[in-house]
Amino acid sequence: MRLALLADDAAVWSSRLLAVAVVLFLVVPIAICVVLSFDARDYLGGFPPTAWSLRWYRAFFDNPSYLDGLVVSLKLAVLATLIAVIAGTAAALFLARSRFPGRAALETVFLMPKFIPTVVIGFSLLGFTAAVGIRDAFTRLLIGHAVIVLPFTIRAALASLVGIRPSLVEAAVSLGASERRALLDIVVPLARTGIAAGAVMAFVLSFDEVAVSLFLSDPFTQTLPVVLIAEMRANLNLTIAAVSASFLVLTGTVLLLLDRTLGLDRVIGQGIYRT
Amino acid sequence: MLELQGLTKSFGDQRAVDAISLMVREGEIVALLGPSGCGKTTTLRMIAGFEAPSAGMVRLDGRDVTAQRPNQRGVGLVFQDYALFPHMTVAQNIDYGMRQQRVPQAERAERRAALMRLVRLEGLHARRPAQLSGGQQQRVALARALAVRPRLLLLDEPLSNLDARLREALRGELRDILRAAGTTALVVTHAQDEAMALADRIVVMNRGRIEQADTPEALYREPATRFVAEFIGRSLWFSGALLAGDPRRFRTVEGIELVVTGDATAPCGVSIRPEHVRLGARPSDVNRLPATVERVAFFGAERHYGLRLAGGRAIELVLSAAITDRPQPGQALMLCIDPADCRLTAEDQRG
Repeated sequence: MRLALLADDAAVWSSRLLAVAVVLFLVVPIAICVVLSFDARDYLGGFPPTAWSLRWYRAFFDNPSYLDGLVVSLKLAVLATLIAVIAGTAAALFLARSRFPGRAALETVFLMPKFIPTVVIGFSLLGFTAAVGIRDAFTRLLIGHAVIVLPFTIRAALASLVGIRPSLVEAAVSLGASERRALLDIVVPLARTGIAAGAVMAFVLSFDEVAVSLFLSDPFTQTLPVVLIAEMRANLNLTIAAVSASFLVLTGTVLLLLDRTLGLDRVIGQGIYRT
Repeated sequence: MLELQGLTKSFGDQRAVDAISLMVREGEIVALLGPSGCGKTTTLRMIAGFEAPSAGMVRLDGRDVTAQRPNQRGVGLVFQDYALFPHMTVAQNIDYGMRQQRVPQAERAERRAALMRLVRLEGLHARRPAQLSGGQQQRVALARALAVRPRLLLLDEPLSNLDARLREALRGELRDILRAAGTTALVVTHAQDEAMALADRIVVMNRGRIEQADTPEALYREPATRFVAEFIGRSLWFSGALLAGDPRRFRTVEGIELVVTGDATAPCGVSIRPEHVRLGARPSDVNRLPATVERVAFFGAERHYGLRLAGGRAIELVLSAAITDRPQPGQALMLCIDPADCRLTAEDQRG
């Protein structure tokens, strides 16, 4: 009895400790980075800054290579997300509706990019694209990003499809709908939340991706993170802090939008079709 | 109207449905009744077209529809979990089938209004399924299925998701709705009271086969097999054999001799409905059984008696509490059963 209570106490305290550790090692450094982006000094000085300015944000917008990188990253994220959502939903539909030997193995293959180091994927794709004669860096990057984010769109779509009772599709069919019609009228609207969540994940992942992009970029087509790394090597200054803060704002906005638009829907939706 | 011929479904070497043949007439309400795993749901799914039969034929209005897809059969289906579309309102749910059939807007609204009156859902057209009670969801499912005017309506355990009190109330209502709509209906259920309350005719299934198909009364009065006798209502079952040379005298394994009616070939037994057992017998009666009262329990309208027969067999009787002559525990008495109520019935072929 006493021992069980002690164990409970230990569990409670260790979870609190974990929460403190997360704040300490994740939230505090990010906060410091945001504060530093407003530092007016020329050098990386002590914390907190003694003077304030927006000069690093100006530097960011004045440097064309940053802006080029931003454009490449945004285009890439949008296109890779689009491809991954379409392909991922199709794959998830197939996986959710079929029962055959080897189905689990196929699911693992689809989800594999998640577990392979991105450096390996980057190098493999560089070799592959060179072998089949793809010289355009943007095409290369697009293939790479689509491959990396695909597991996330599949996972998200699969999770929501599995929650849809098969009787719903059968009901639509028994009312005269073709299977394609039932898919469009019933399955797609009900899986929408999951698919959208996967899309946001894909977008953010693609936008933040570094390793694969390092391999597949060329000097004329570089993603924003690749540009940042290059600039950091050439002259380390606080522009990177300003860019990081902008990154945070962008990602945060996307997540907030998701919660606002789809969060409500989810509250109403889940109670119904997950019975 | 609906005709099944030798309908069979095998899963591996297991026959879930074993050569079932059945006719349902226009406007008839038939119940497929049996314990879980007896093949009744598989039969329903084959009629709807969601399961392809391994052998046999499904005919609708004389036409073979075995190869037709479910959306071409004109067979409506009310699912056990109702399967209402959660992202649509009640009105959109009911309209869904009519939209597929391209029923014009005005007629759609008219039919929907009539159906919502019929199933007493007036004023709820803008609600979502999650905002309805179980009974209301059930009625939406019914209205949605009826809206397309199916040739045949299939209902899969329509009341099993409701609590006991509501189930009883809805039973009568469901029958009235089906009658008013004039549809031919096939109801799958494992609850005998549901089948008896709803159906003109009950098809009792067991282990993939039809045991007996008849009106509720005939099933109760003249069960063809031990399974039916024990599945429909209560039954006292006595195993044994007919005395050689006399088709009316039966000797149970406990050594009790009974004068019986009905005919069945061996192996057979005797089925007696508990309410046909009389407490106290006159010397002139045949089938007099000495017994001792062991327990008496009072349940309002009825009393349950635990009795032990002379041969050692314990039986349970349910008798009206209105009977004034009340034997007490420990008391010895004579039981009497009219020979007409001792029905010779076929023993099950147990595999």
